[in-house]
Amino acid sequence: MVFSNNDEGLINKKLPKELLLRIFSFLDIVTLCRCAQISKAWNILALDGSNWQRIDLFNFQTDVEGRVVENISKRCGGFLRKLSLRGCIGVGDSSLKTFAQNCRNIEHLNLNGCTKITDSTCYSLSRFCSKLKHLDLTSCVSITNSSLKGISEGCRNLEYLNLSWCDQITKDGIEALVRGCQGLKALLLRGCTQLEDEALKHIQNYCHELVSLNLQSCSRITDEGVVQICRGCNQLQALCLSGCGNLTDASLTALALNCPRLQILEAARCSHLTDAGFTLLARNCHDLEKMDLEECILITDSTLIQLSVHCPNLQALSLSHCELITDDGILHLSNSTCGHERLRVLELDNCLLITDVALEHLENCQGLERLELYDCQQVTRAGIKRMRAQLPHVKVHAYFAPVTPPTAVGGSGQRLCRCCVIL
Amino acid sequence: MRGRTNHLRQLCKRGCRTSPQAPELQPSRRTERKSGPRPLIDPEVLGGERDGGWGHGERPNRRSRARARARVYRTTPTGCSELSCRRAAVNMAETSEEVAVLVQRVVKDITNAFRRNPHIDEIGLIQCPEARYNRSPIVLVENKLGVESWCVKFLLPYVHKKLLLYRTRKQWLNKDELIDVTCTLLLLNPDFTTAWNVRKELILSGTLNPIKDLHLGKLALTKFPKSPETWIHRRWVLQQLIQETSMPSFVTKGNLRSVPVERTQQLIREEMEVCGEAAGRYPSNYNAWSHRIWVLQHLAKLDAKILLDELSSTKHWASMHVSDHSGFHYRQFLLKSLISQTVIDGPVLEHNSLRNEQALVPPGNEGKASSTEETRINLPHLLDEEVEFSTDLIDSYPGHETLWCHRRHVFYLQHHLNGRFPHSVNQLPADSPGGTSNDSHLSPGIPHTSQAMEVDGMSYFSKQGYSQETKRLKRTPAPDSLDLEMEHRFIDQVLSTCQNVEQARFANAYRKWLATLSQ
Repeated sequence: MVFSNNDEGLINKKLPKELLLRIFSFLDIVTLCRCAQISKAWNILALDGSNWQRIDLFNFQTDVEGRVVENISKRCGGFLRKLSLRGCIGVGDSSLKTFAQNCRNIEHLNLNGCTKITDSTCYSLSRFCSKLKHLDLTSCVSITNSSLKGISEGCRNLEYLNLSWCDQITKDGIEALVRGCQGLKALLLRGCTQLEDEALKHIQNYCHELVSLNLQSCSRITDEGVVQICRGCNQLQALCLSGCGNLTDASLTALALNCPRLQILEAARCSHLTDAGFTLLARNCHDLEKMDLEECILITDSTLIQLSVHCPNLQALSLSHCELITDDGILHLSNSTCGHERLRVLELDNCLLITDVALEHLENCQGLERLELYDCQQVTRAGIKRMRAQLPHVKVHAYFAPVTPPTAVGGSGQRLCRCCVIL
Repeated sequence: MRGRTNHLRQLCKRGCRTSPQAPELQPSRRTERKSGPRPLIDPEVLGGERDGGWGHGERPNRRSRARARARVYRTTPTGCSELSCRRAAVNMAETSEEVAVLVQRVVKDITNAFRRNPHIDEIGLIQCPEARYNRSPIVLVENKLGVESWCVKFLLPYVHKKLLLYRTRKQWLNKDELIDVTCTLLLLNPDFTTAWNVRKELILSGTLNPIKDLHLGKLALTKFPKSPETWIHRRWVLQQLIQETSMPSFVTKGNLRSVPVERTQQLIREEMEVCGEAAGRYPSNYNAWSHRIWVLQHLAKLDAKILLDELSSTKHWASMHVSDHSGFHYRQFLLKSLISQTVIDGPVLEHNSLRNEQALVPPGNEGKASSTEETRINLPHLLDEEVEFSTDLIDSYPGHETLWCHRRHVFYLQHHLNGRFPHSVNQLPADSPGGTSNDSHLSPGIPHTSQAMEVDGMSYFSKQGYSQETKRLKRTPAPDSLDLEMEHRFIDQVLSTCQNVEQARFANAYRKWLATLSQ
């Protein structure tokens, strides 16, 4: 028996060890560590590996040096499933190697912002952590193609891989990766500026399960690459192509013909896209929920009409800088199925032709939560006020500045009210 | 006792209906709004608590006072339950959220402005007390970026707080967000060291191009030409750039395509330009000029050709800014450096970066001798020119103390050069053990400003060197008495022709100073 008979807390007397462990499993790190200081019995329980299956060291960031990671990995061993070292810039390859050796059951690893790590870490993960499913290497700029080769050999169960801003990655790395990890569901390549169409061809060939793909700022991509992706990845639900300025309607056509399940499409700053492409897209992809069409300057009300007719699930639509959109397009949008109930967010900033009339139309949108009207210079304060009278919960954002700037956080200025005396 | 109340407070947080809930800001309020009218606190509870709604009879400590303040979002400070009061409190919460959204939009506008026009070369504040129209406060006209003043009072505190939250690890910002936030902050207040430090970290980890920081600094200097933190950061970035090995990621990405020497030359040119502009925007901009000197020391390694170029190119500027003490100090530095470059004889000459001369020098002693001849000849000529320049300015612009100070320096340099050329090897080095002797009688003679301007660390005017000189002068007749005579003649001429009282005063002071020299 671990517990002594005298001097025993009530909780220890009443609850069996298993239940105590269960309670501890809900606690966060800080509390767990405090509990471990209470008594020897609690020390053993609190530091039991089963309580350390998920760890997030975000709040400790710069305090986390290699030693911490090594100690944790030794303590938790095979129990550790999920570890987040987001922002822990002090962590390096050697501690992660120790970690990989000790925690071979790790499934979810977040190394976002751990800028010191290099390919060596990925080799370690590949050697020891074959159960890895979710890996986030955002901003680990020293990662090269070699890492991907390693991962493809050792971490074949990988479903989510985030390589945002790892801009040394090229098509060779992608090729190696997808050959090994054919079960990839989500691949985030934001800011991997060296990638070209050939990289996408490899994805087409191997990643048939792909659901989410982010190619933001991969500006070398052209239609050819996107067409290939669509042909290979028919399960695609979320696609981000923002910043890929070379794309034309051919990409949208490919999407329409191959990816009927598409729910999220971000195409900001793809300024060559036109109504034709979006028409085809709308007619085929009825599940569309979120669309970011910022700076798709060629689109007109016609696109809005098509979306209104064919996409009843539309929740969020951004038309920033789409200067050809007029009140008429908004009329159709608000009278549609999605307009009445589903539409939550609408961004019309810098749509210079929008006037108060559009706001009147939008009064039909009962579900509307947020409306952006920055730089819509024909919209007046009165118009906004009228609309908010009908839709009291909507947040309308414009440049008409708030009247009083807030005082410091937490410190409120005392407000005078009619019934109170205090100033 | 406290443990129990903590325990109770925990229970209350989980939704005990009879006590006031600890207000959690942001997330829960948003979710509440989605589901309909906000559930305001039970009015009975509001009205009935004498100790400000604490229940439990606790004494409010620091944390609870903070919570009480936060509570204002749900109730009023007085616990008043009147509808108007509650509405006012709620409006304030809404307002601060609106502000956050507005500021995020403005930061995005600034980022977009830089994206649309990468050649922005000046920033400024536009006086505009309120936002009467639904128009962005960020105005981009021709390469000038303007910020309307009404948004600054919202913008600055918000971005400031956001960065501090990131720094204290309460909120995460990804790479793009960090860059945007620090950029906005530094354009509004470039003396915010933390923001520069965040950018340093980004550069060191290879996620930010150092050239961007130079560009940002240049922009900030158009509005804040003196900002010390900007100059300090600039020097750090330049140091990183010249240590090429420390930037592996940029090497592989091909950013260093041009030959290193070429790149350094370009950097130097750019820095000279930035300094020149900053000097023009603020009178006697010490920070700008000392940065300029630093660049010459560390980037150009005091290359004689560059020094000569600088001397000639700043001549016009100096003549247009006759009261800019820092500008003239710069010329003094140039002359001093040139002297120290060329008075070191023979084999030592090779160690100086007289690149042009080296290229032309054929192997053998002949060549070396001739090159040293060359530079030796130039020096007295340079100094003569400078004296002439000084004479010119003093005559044209009577009553400027700066010009007289400059003259003292130049004369002193000449004095040294003429009198003690072969001995100067002992006098020169920057790390000479100066200033230990008790030359108190000499101190009043030296213009006191010269002590302050030892930016380059060369103790040409070190007390030890000076005492040796005076001892020598006492033993032998001064070889430069001719020069002294000329100066006295000049002073006479000035006194006889000038009408400016100040000018006369300066001339007399100069005469007195000359007298101390020959003692």
